[in-house]
Amino acid sequence: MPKNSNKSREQLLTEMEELRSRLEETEEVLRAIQNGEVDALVVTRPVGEQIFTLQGAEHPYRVLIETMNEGAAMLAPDHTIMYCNSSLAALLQVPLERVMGTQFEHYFRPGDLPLLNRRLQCTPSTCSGSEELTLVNGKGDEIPVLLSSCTVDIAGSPGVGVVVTDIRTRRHAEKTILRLNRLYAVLSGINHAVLHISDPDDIFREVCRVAVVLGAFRLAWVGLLDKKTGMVQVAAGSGETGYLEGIPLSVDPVKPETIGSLACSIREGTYHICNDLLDTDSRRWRERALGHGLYAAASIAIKQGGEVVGALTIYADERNFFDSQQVELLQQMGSDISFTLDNIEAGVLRRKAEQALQRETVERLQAVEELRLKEQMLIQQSRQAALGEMIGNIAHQWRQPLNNLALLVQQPPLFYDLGAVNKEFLAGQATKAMEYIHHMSRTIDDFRNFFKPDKEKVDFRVHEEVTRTLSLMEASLKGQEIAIQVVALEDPIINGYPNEFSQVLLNILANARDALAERAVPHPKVVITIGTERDRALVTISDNAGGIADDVMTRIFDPYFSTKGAHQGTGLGLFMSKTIVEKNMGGQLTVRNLADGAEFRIEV
Amino acid sequence: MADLQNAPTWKLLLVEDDKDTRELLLTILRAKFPDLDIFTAVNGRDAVEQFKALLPDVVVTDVNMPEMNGLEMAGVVRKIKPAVKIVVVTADTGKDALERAMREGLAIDHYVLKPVDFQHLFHAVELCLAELAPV
Repeated sequence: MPKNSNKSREQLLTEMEELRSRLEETEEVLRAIQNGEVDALVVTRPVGEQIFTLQGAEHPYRVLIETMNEGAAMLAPDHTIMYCNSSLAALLQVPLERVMGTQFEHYFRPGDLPLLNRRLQCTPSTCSGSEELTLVNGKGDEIPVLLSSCTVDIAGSPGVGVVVTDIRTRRHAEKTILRLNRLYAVLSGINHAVLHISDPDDIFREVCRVAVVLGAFRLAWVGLLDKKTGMVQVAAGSGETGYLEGIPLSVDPVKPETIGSLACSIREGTYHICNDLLDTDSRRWRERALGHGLYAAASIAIKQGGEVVGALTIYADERNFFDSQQVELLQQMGSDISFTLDNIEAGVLRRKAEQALQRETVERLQAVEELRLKEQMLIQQSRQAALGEMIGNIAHQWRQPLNNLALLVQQPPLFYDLGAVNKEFLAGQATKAMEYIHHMSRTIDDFRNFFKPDKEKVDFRVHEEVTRTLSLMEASLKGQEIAIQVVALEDPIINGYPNEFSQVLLNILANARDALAERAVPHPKVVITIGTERDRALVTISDNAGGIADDVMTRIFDPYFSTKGAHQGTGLGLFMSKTIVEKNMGGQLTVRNLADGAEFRIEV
Repeated sequence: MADLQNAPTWKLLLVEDDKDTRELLLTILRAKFPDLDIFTAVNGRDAVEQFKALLPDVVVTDVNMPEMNGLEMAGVVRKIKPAVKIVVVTADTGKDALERAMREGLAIDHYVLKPVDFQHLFHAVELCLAELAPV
C-alpha cells in the first residue's frame, strides 16, 4: 500500500471512525427494514435517484386483495392454488382453507380448459386482456366469469396471479336487453302492421308473423272470444301452431281445456304471464309444451270499443323469459292492436256511414229524377186527356153539321128523280152546304187556338174566356141536356195565359158534365158566376149533381185520383187545374159542397 | 112490298131538336113518302105530347135532345101505343147506349146511324110500313 503508507495515524483513525459510523447507519436501516418500518428506499445514483420498494410494503396490497369483490388467487407453476382471497372462495362455494392446494382447473367446465390453460401460460408480453370462461362452483352451478392473469415470481419461482370476476349480473343484463330488443322488434313490427293494414284478420296474421320472425318467439297466435259460448277461436297463428291443434280453447277456468294465460288475460282484460309452462299438474299440457319447445308464455288482451274480444299469446323457448320490464311493452302491444281495431271499426262505421250517405244521395237523386219523369208523364197524360176531351168536343160539334151535310148532298139525286132539281134548288143546296162547312171550319179554328200554347201573359176578360170555353163544349153539354147559366156580376180582367185558364174551366165543366150524366140527375144544371172578391177575380162553377163525398173531397186534387174508373178518367184534370191556377197564375182553386152539388172557386 | 096505294094513310112523327136537321129530314121524307102524314117534334117531351094527340104509326127520332131524350121518349110512347114502329137515328157513339136500352127492355124496331144515309133511312121506314100494312 504505497499510497496509504503516506497517511498519518490520525488520518487512518478518522477514516476508520467514519467507516464505523456508516456501518452503524447501514445496520440501522437494515433493522428498520426488517421491522417493516420502511416502505421504500431512495438511492442516489450517478444517473439520478432510484426508488426501491421493499418486501414489507405488501401489507396494504394484501388488505386490498382481501377486501375486493373479485376473486383473486396466486397459482404455483403447476396451477396449484397457493393463495386465494375470500371472494374467490365465496364464488367457488368452497371454504377458503380447502381451496388452497387444489388445482385451479378443477373449478372450470371441461370444455373451457384449453382456453384456461392458454391464458395461464401467458407471458408478461401476452397476458394483457381477459378471457370469459364458465366456472363450476362447489354446488355445481355454472357461473360466467372474466379471468385475467399475470406471471409473478414466487420465492424465485415463476407463478401466476389470477383475478376472477363474476359476470352473472352483466350477463343477465345483456340477456334482458336482448329480450327487450326482441319485444321492441315485435312492437315495431306490430306498429308497422297496424299502420299499413286495414283488415283485422290480416293484422292478426302479421302480428303473429313478426312475433315469430322478428321476435324469435316459438309461437304466437291470436284467439278471438265467442261471448256466447265462452270459447276462443284461433284467428291467426305463426310458429309452432301444432301446439293449438285439436284443443277446444275456453276461457272458463273450470274447463280442462283452459289455457291459463289466455283465460286470465281475456277474463281480466289485461295481460298474464306464465314463466314456466312445464310447472303444471296436467301431464298432457306439459308434454304438449315440451314437444313444441315452449317454456314460457305471455298473453295480452285485445280490446275493441273497451271490451275484450280476444288475446295475443306469445311463447318463448326458455323459462322465465318474461319479467316485469317487459310488461310495459306487452301492454303497449295490446293497446296498439286494440287501438287499431277501434280505428278499423271506426273506419268501417265511417265508410258505412259514407256509403249510406252515398246511397241516400243516389236514392234522392233517383227520386228527384223519378219525380221529374213522373211530372213529365203527368203533363203528357194531362195533355192527352185534354186532347181526348177536345176531340170528343170536336166530334160533338161536328156531328150535327156533318149529318146535315150528308143529308144535303144526298138530296140532288133524290129530287132529280122527282124532277124537282133546278138552278135555284142547287144554289140553295150549295149555300146551305157552305154554311155548314164554314161552321165546321170555325170550330176547328177555335180548337186550334185553344191548343196553341200561350207564349206570354196577357190581360184577358174572364167573361170572354168563359164564353169561348162554353162554345167549345156546347155540343157536348147540349148532348147531356145540361142547362148552362152564366151570371156575370162583373167582368174582371186577369193577367195570365187565357188558354190555360180556359183549360181549367174546361176540366171543371167536363167533371160537372160527367157527374151529372153518371148520376142521371133530372134537370141537370151548371151555373157559372163571374165577379170579384177582395180585389181578385172570382169565378165559381156549381152544379146540381149532389156534391162530392167527404173521402173524395180530401183527394180530389191529387194526381191520378179519379172516381170515373180507369177507362174514363185519368185523374189528372183537377190536379193540372190546381197547378195552373196556383202555380202559374198565383191564384187559388178550391172546392166545396153546396146544398145540391159541388162548387169550384177560382180566385185569381 | 105491300101495296101502298091501298094502304091507309100512315102517320109518321119526326123528332129532332136541331132545326136544320129536322127540316132536311122532313124534306126528304116528304119527297120519298108523299102519302105519309108527317109531323115534327122538337124534343122528347114535345114528342110525347104530340104522340098522345096524333097516335102516329111510325116514330123517327134523334137520341140526344134537351128536356127528354129519344130513348126515354120511345119507352113512353111504346106504352101508349105498343104497336108503334120506332126508328132511332143515332151517332155511332150512341150505339152502345141504344143497345143497352134495348137489352133493358126498350123495344126499338130499327135504327139508322149518323150521318144518315138516305137508303138506310128509307129502308127502315119502308120496313116499318110493310110491317104495318095488312097482308
